[in-house]
Amino acid sequence: MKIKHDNRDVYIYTGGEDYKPGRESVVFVHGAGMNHTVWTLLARYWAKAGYNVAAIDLPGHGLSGGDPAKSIEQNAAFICGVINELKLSEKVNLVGHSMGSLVALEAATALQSIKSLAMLGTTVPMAVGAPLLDAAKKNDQTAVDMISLFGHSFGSQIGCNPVAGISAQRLAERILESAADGVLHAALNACNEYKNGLQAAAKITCPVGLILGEFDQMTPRRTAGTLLKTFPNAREICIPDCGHMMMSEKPEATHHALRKIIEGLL
Amino acid sequence: MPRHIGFDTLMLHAGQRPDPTTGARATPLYQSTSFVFEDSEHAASLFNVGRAGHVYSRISNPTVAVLEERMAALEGGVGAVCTASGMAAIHLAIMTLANTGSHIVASRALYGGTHNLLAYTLPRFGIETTFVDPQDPLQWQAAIRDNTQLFFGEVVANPGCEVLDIEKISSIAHDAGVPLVLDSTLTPPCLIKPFEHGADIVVHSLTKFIGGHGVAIGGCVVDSGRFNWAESGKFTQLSEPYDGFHGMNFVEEFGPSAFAMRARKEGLRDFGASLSPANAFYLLQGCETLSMRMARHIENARVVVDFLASHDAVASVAYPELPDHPDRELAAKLLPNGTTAVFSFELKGGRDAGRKFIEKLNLFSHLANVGDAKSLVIHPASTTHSRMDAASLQEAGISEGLVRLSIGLEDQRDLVNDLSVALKASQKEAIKKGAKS
Repeated sequence: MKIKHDNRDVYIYTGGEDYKPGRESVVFVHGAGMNHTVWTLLARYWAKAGYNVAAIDLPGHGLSGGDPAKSIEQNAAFICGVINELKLSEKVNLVGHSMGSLVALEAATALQSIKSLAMLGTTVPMAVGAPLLDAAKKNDQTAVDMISLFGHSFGSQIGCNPVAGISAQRLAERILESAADGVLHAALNACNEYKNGLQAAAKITCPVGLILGEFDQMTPRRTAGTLLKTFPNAREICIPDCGHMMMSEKPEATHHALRKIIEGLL
Repeated sequence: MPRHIGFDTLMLHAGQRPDPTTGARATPLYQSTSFVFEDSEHAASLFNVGRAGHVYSRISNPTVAVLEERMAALEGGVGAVCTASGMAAIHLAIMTLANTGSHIVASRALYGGTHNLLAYTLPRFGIETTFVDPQDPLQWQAAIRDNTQLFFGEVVANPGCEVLDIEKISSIAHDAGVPLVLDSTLTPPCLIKPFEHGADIVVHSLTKFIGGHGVAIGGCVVDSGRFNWAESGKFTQLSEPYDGFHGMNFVEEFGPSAFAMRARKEGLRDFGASLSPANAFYLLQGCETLSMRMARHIENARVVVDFLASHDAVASVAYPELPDHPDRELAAKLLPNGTTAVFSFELKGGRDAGRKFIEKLNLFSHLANVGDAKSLVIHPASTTHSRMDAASLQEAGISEGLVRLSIGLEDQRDLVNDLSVALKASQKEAIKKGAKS
């Protein structure tokens, strides 16, 4: 569905179900240059399971209008605003991937009723290499290729996707290619510039789960240790043989990991 | 900077990793109609597309899925759907895009079976086709109507070997807001990847070069993931909620893979022309050696073409690498690794000479197939294209004396010797018949 927020169109994927008042919600935040479609399986699952689901396209991404936000903090303010607009403020489970994980983290510090926070493919700080930033700034295809190649484990590049017939790697490439000029760079730059991660993490009291890919080269698992320790109440779930794009690389393992976090089974 | 996994590696590995349960290196043949649910919730989630997995082999199967992912990888597409045959693939692609009242613009140089579908069968369901000269962009442009839903053609046409200017024709299609659907059966992805030139959907008869050994029938539809269905405004079946699947909006929910998902969720579910796991298993064996076989197919074809082109019994050879072929430059640009190994030639001496020629061949098998490891021959006017009337045959560039060859992997000298004997016999027959008359 589309709503107006701050005078711009915002697209929210509800997982195919209408909202019902009083339900817990699951709010999904995608990564740089991506959009709500990276959450389709998970969104449909949680919507059918009785949650109000909002997979939100960040400004300038997917089907949302406006210019891309320049910082993680701006994106987080946008997410909080949309959550309030949708009246999803009771028992919110926040789920973010990559850049979206930082947005979810930052948003979690501002929202009152966070039940859980899931950060997928994450680390703090989330430095982005100059070659990738430069290529993204030029809207060059090599930026897509770098994310595609560094973002998927070798096994996932070979394939064996449980979603029959679909290439997880090519799907990610097409989504990134469909982003408007400047969107990917703005998002990657926001990741690179974000400095508040550990301070934000220290304030989060709800259960937190970090879902990390064993072979993630974009946010390597070994770099997430400080973030993990900074949270008062966090656990890590490692997905074997998986890179950075766990939702499409290992949808079943990601499903089970997220259930543990949202259902309080960590 | 790392690079994408290379073609030959994908040919062997894409879509399959050693079986985690048994360690099997080869793709296991999952000859099972259906797959056990973990529990009721798992079952409900699979039906709701809330989790990934297989339910019933009409819609997806683990062995077939390996072949699908492999074809998507080899063509550079976002996804693929395998079908019971190449014709089923064409039908699935069209039915996913068109509705009653829709219109298609198609090349008139097509495989006879495709021509039948478009010219005779689809009109019964309210889908009309305008056939155009594939080499004339103005004809494609002029044929567009408000209700046109797709362009259809063959990369290299069967059997006349006309080469389609994919960039030009796709540009006209895209300006009209419709996708270009191409049959690339005679030009497997080691020769050309049509998506790199502007095609949107590619169909294959996997029975041919990709399977390559004449043991299994199958087809596939590959989705480039690049056509903007919503922006076109013509494809509400993809961009608006579908009552037949919980109000699913394929464009909104699956983005670049909307077409492939719809083709499976609707087309395989309701039409049911799915590929059997056993055939997928056989086709995968062929796929593993595709580029090596194609190189030899092409090498042998060039030897045979040269032999025929200089033979007194041959009136003409239609092969795009020959200097006098009108598509020579286009073929060299689009297909630098070779055009194809299926082509036709015109025998001197008419129908009787043709009959004698085919009867005298020992190595070439007279049958209705192409793309086999073994060399094949057929007379299109009396077989594959027999349903076409004289005018349609002429439009498709098929004369009554045309002979189609599919060059296999045999020793080149044996192929030439076999043809040489048969050509000699054909001309004797022509002289004999001429003397009698």
